[in-house]
Amino acid sequence: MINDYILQSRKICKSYRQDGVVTDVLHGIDFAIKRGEFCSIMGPSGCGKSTLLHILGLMLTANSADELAIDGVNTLGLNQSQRTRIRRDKIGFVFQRFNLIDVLTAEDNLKLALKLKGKSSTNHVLELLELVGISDKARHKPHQMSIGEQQRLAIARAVIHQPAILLADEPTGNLDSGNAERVMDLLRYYHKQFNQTIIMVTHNPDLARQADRLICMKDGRIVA
Amino acid sequence: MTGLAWANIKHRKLRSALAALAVAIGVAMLVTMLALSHGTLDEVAQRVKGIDAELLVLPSETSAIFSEGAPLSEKYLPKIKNLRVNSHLVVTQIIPVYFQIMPKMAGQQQRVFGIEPDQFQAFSKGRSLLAGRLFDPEQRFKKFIEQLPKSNQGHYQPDQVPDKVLNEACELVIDERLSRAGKYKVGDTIPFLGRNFTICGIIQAGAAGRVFAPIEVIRHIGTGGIPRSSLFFVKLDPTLVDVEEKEVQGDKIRVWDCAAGLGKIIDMKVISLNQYDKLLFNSFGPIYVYINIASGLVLVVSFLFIMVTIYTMVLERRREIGILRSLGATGSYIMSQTISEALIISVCGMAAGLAMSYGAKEAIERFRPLLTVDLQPRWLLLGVIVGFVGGLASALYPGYCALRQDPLEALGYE
Repeated sequence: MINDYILQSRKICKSYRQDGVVTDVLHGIDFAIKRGEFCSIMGPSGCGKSTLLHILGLMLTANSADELAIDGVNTLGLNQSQRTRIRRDKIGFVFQRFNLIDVLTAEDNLKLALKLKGKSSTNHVLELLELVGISDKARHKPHQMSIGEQQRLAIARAVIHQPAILLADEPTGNLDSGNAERVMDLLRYYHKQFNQTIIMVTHNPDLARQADRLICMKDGRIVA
Repeated sequence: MTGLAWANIKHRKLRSALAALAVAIGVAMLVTMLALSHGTLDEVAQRVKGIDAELLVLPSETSAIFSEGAPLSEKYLPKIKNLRVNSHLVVTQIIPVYFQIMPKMAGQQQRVFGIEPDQFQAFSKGRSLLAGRLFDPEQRFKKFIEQLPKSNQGHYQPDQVPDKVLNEACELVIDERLSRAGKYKVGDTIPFLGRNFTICGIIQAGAAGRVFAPIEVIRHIGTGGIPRSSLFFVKLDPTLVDVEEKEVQGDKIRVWDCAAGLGKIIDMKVISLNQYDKLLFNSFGPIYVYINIASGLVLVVSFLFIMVTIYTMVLERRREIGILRSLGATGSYIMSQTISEALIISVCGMAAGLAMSYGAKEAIERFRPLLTVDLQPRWLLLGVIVGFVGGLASALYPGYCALRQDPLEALGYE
């Protein structure tokens, strides 16, 4: 029987130590998301929403947790290479600052992502560029594209391997309203068309409300 | 595998070129330093080893490298000539040489080989005269002093030689490198031993000495004509002696046996000319130690130079490494990209460094013709190893550090 929950976590705690001072960021977060759900996490700056997203995406390690299962695999206790493999196969990331490879063209950024996932399909790359509306920029490097185009390229890269979960950290944070709307359209399209599970962190209430489910955080805790 | 590495290199052309240049300078510095120091000393050894003789006879306490003046009497000549090994007369020719130091020629001290004109072949090693002629080819000066009245000891009175006769005999043959270094040509005069010597010929580079003069003239000025020498080169009969020293066991007499036999009948140091480079090494031991220490330091500096360059280059890529990790790139993929880029830069730098070494050789030998830059394969290989290992090692460490970082930490590195 397929587990309805694609992601389950219990009692996730995270703190940072800097110059001998310990700052608690997450206080025992319990969180679960169903397959195909579009969930947004909202909250004020510093409430721990990005930290939570990075832990869910195995980019950060929690100080303690009772459970962190992705697509049925409990990730607690996995070593670095096992975590990398899960990140590669099951997770797609969209960052606020895009994090594209500057030295590669749009097309090559996607090809590299495919190659890292152990796949290769040039047609798929071109189709995806068409889908996100930047097929005319295939041979352009990121710095030769507008920031809206860069973010759409970043989304294309994140979904190119059809990940189990798409994690988006303030995907519209650097965009004007027009570009932000296009990016949201793209995420919604993916969610509806491919039943893509999406967790999006934002501090914009209007964008957050476009998701199926809204989670509010405050001071390292889920409050609603 | 190297796609991203190439893309990085092409995208940051100036930085890549500067990194390769830094590697090139490190490699060229090391290779040129070694080739120059060893080449210049080895060239001296090779020149002397090429003399057409097998043994060297010199006073026991004298160095073959630094000997000068005339400590050896010609009374030894008959004893040497009559050397018998296994009841065979083995000596075919004795070549006396009288060394004198010329304080300055082409900006540096030169050792003048005083030799008999008819024995010049033994020192020229087949090199031909590029200009002019050999000094006193008809041996007029020798013939002149031979007809002078002699004392009971068989010596003539130096003041019996007129200045005109002596001045005409004061001639030098120099090699082409010295000629180029000092811009000397046939007909130029050089002050030496209180007289003006005229350059009468220029010989191809590679002869045993850089400056040759008639031994009778040097003796006349140096000892008042008493027939003494600095050392003797002894040529052995090749039909009896294994002069090539190739036979492990054979019928021929070994050069070493001739040297030992000669050492027993005259109280002199007798060495095989094939041991000359060893002798040179012993005489220049402290200099070789200095060269080796200096070369070691250059090696360390070159290595650090390359390491810092590549290390900085890899550090610049930590954000990219973070991105790759967020995409799920494995450690081996990231390391392969990092190492590929470092190796491409290092290989280009190595090639440029070796090319720069050849350029340095041309420049040094052009502007300092008395120096020899001998780019032996071992120095070139060392340059390649230092460039390769330096590039590899310096990519491994920062690459390893980047892999150990959280991807987020690496992403934040800008």
